[in-house]
Amino acid sequence: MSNDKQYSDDAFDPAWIDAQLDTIGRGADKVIPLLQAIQKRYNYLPRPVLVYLSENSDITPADVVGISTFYSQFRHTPAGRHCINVCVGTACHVKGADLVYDSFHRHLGCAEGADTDSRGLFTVNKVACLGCCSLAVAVQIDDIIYGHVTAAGAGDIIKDFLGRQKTREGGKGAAYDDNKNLSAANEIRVSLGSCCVASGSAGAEAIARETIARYNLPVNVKHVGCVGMCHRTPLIEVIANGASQYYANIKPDDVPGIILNHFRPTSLVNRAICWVDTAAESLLLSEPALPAASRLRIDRDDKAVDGFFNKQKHIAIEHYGAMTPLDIDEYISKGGFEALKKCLRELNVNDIADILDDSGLRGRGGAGFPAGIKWEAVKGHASMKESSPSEKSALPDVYLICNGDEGDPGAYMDRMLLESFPYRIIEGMLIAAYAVGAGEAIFYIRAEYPYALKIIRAAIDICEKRNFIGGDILGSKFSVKFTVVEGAGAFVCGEETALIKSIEGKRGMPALKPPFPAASGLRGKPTLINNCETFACVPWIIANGAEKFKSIGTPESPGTKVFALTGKIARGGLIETPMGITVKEIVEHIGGGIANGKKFKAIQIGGPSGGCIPAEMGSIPIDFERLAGAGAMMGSGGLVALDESDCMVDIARYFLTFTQDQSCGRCTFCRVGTKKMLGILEKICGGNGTAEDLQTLEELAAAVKSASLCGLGKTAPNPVLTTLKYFRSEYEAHISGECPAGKCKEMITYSITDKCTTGCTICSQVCPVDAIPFTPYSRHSIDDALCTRCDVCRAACPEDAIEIVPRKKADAV
Amino acid sequence: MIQLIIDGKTVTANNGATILDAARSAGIYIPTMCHDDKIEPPVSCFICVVKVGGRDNFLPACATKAQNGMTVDTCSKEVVDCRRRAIELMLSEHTGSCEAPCTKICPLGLDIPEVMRRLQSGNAAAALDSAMQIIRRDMPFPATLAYICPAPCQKGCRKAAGDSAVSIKRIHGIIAEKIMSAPFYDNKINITPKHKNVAIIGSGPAGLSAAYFLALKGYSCTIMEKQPFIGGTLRSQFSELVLPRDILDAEIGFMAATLGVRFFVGTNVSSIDEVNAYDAVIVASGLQTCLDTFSTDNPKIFACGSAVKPVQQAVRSAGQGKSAADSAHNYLSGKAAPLKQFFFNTARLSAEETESLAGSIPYINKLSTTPLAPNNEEDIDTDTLMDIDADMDSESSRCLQCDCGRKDSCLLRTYAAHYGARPSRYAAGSRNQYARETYGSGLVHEPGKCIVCAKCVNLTKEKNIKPGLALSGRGSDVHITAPFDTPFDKAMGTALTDCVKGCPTGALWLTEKQ
Repeated sequence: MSNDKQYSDDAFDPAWIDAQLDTIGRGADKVIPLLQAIQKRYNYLPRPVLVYLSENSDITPADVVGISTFYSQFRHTPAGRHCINVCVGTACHVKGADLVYDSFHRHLGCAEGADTDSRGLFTVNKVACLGCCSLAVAVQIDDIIYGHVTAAGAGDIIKDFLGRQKTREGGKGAAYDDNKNLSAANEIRVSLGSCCVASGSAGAEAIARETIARYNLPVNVKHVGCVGMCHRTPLIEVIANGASQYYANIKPDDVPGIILNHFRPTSLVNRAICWVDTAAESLLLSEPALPAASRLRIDRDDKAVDGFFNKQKHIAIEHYGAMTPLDIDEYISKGGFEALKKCLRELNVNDIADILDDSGLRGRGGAGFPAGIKWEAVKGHASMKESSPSEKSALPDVYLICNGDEGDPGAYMDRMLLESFPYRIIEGMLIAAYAVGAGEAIFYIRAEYPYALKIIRAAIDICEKRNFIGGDILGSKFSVKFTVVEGAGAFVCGEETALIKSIEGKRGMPALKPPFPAASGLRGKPTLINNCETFACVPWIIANGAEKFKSIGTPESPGTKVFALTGKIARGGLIETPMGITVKEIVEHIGGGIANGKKFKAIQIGGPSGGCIPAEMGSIPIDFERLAGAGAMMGSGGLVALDESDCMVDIARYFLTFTQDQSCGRCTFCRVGTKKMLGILEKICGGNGTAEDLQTLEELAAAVKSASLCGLGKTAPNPVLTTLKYFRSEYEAHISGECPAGKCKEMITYSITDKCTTGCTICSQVCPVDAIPFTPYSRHSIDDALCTRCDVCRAACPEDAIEIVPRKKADAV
Repeated sequence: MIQLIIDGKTVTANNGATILDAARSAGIYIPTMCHDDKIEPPVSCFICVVKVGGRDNFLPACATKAQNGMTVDTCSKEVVDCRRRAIELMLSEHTGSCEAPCTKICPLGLDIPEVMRRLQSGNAAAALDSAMQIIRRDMPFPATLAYICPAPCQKGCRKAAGDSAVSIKRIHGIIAEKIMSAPFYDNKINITPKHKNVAIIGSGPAGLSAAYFLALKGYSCTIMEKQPFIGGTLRSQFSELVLPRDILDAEIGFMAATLGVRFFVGTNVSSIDEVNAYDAVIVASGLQTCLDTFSTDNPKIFACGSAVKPVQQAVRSAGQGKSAADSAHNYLSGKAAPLKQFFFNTARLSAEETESLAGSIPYINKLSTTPLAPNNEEDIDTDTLMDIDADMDSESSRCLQCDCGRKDSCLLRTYAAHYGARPSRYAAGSRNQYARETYGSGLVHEPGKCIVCAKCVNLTKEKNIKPGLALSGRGSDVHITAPFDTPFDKAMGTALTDCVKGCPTGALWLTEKQ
């Protein structure tokens, strides 16, 4: 099979489809993997292939159509050779993702309404969230992720990508390389999480390897998991004689200097090479290599770094930044699988759920349901089923599912956990499977996380070889099989009943509960579903005891929580803190406040199900109850900091755009209600809102919340309700014709102030729509009728002479 | 068996029964739209919501299992409000019209599309006969009106956009003429006498109309006219050239001879006491009436026409006479006044949408090969028509039949009326695109009227039909589709009848076999 993607309709190849049917299967439940294979080969789903598929399998034409149109991974029209996915997650949205998308669209010269350029080279899409929130705006082209993209940078990125295409030799930077080396005294640790790679750590790694080889240094390069300090990436850690030193925001050119700063070549020849190199470099560069090293060095004692770390408490992400994700021996050497052994050898099966119950661990996926109670319920239903003389079947009696369908835009905790702590999650799942008697454990991971999928598949493989997974695990009578299911792009599948439907090969439409999955879940069997982070906490609790876990956090919400801190924050990243930490502590102490000296306005927590908590409520402790009390929700733990330049009505509109698209479309209130709410918000943002609209919006929000079947619909109005509650004056300002943050396009104009004295023409050159006439040496002007408010000129102006004026004011002049 | 309390009433139900099952078995009514006994509850429409004790949110009765000790509320204000909102949300997406705009505009509510459909069915004589019945049902003196009606109906005709309005008045005129000469005129009316007497004061268009409709229902009607002649403004306002007197006289004669209406001329009624012996009184005495004389507080007195407020057109007066007759009938038969009828209407259709209507007219007489006659909008002199049958056939075939095929059985319309829903409550944002597709099997599919309850999808799945219907898309874009461009009727296979029967709105319906 060729890797070349087709941009034509005629590549219908029945033999290839037959081969897929033989490998993947012909059952109705195999429809999603089959469609994924077709999509992978053709870049879209050609009609003749789908017809052939329905004629040669148990999948009905209705199901092929129903399922392939439900999941956003699938497309039905030909796509370009390369896919540009502009992330429009929350963090990217507040940093101008829509403008970036428009810019790509313009650069490619796509026709109005089309998403592919005329040559069929690129297709540009908006995607829900790539989980690289600290690099906002993130843009993915095929398997390369670009971070910190601006509207002005689109052209350069396309050029860079095409350049790489020419030089690339098949392999990609992030390819996993299981280099084992346990001598930890001298090593260079490079984090290779998806977002680190996107910010350039793979390039840094390549240079490090080159440097080490060139001077034959006694150092290992080691891949480690996420370091959490996403705001400082690319980041490497050098361990020299056991002592650690971090270097942050490095460029590939900095790497040799950093390495040579710690390790001197041993042989005379290598020293000579080194001397020549550094001398030559100091001639060429304005600053010599060694000072570069000290410039980039960050110390654990540095106030900023210390602030980032000292309030954190690591349970789920224990040993973070120090372990090679797939090095199972290293995991074992740090106490890995001890908790599992304890369960298998020392504890009574019935005690495990009790310990969990004692610990007070609550599900980390959003709603905070006590994990112990869930486990007990599954166990209870499983034993009931066992006692009834049921038919003998090959299917297990109890299933376990790890929910890694992290769909919340603005959250990437699960991705990081899966990429950096695969064994930790697997151990948690093994303990759970043992406790509830599950025969099959399933990882459900969203397809937008290819690296996480790769790591988990590799980790399962290794565990099978080492008898942590499979039959008679570690000499016990306990057996469990692990499988990985790839999500196909549907936020609603984070809801457990929808997730189960998706595994069964159906549209991911949530079901009315009860029955809960604990009673009747996957294939009608009792099923335990927990989130990745929940499972990651389990081994720690078993190893350290329920009491110790309870001593952390708050009485109602014990333990810690992993958060993705993103948005307008100075020091964004992945953090794990005790529950009960205040918003203020997170934003100011850990996050170092708002970047660029702007004023902290609100924190968005919990994504589309959560809400916006205003700066004035910064002393609110973060736990399940308090957040719910404030109208927000823990969600999976995405924290997006918003500053004074963010429009709260726009934020509400942003989330409603998301939910009305992600709703499964079943319930009238969710399907139509969210659309109508969005219609009202668009009207308000467009400057046409009325006081009556606000009332209707509020009433609709309450109605959708109270009459929807699943969590998505019940929580979808939260972003609207919280912004209406805490920022009503902004809605009212919009109604009287002004967007106070100057964000809503229809309510602002761009104008050039008298600061523009030189007439430097930069704005005129960068303007993508020729709205600024080329007038050298005299003050520029903007043609408002042509201006698309893309903000490129304002960002480019060296004199800060371009300002945003409320339309109302501009009209009055 | 379990016990629960529904609206304060103790109800027993089987284990595993839903709240809906339990309520139904106890004779407690809960409305449903997407529910169907043949399939698992789709749980989509949320019209069946109830409140369960201890829960904040509303639960769908169709899928929520009844539990022992549960208390259920099916009719409190908040439940009713929630149902109304569900309907209003569905209506906010809806496209099409319950009644065609022409019917809605006609003061008499003449079902014009139905007349056109009947003209398109079967052979010419039978078609005309059948169309006549509708005219007779809806219009009190059709031949007279054919001369004087200003045809407001034509102003609303959707065919006017990009073409010209269907000549409704011309067709009406031809049928009216046939009525005058048809044997039907005398003997095709069966009336069951009700042995109740109604006095009608005034013999103008309002009074004649009220008498006509009441007499059709079997009431003994007596018209009292102050003037020495019958007809009021019909005679005083229109010259003989405009309205030939033989036409008017013939229609009045029909009322007297066939419907048994009694007329007294030169009879001035100046107080209620004079007509107190009657079971009901209709005051249709025109401008000169002082309404104070006939207190409308008296439940048996009904006023209409210019007696209430000056009316310019005779057809409007006739329309009011018709409603007064309806009110009097309700009063006399002891029925509560029926719910105000609900009308949904998408005011403006795009050119594309109108085209979709024009390309999918459900009832077209396949025998008709006559090319469409050019039509001019002005009133047409019925005498100049040459080939009446052919012309009428082609002209009636121009009707878009833009009323709803399910106007009498649409649950959305029924519940909208029942719960007092406002169709434009949630106006912000877009509505569905209007489209209509008519298939050879007689199936009509109008996706803009679909509430996406997926009942039809589940019914085809239940019967294992290939290809079957599918839900396509996600979120607010979800719609029902037939896979791989299969015709809709083919995709439903043997489940077609069930799907059509089950469809709660006008999204799926069948034309009668021609």
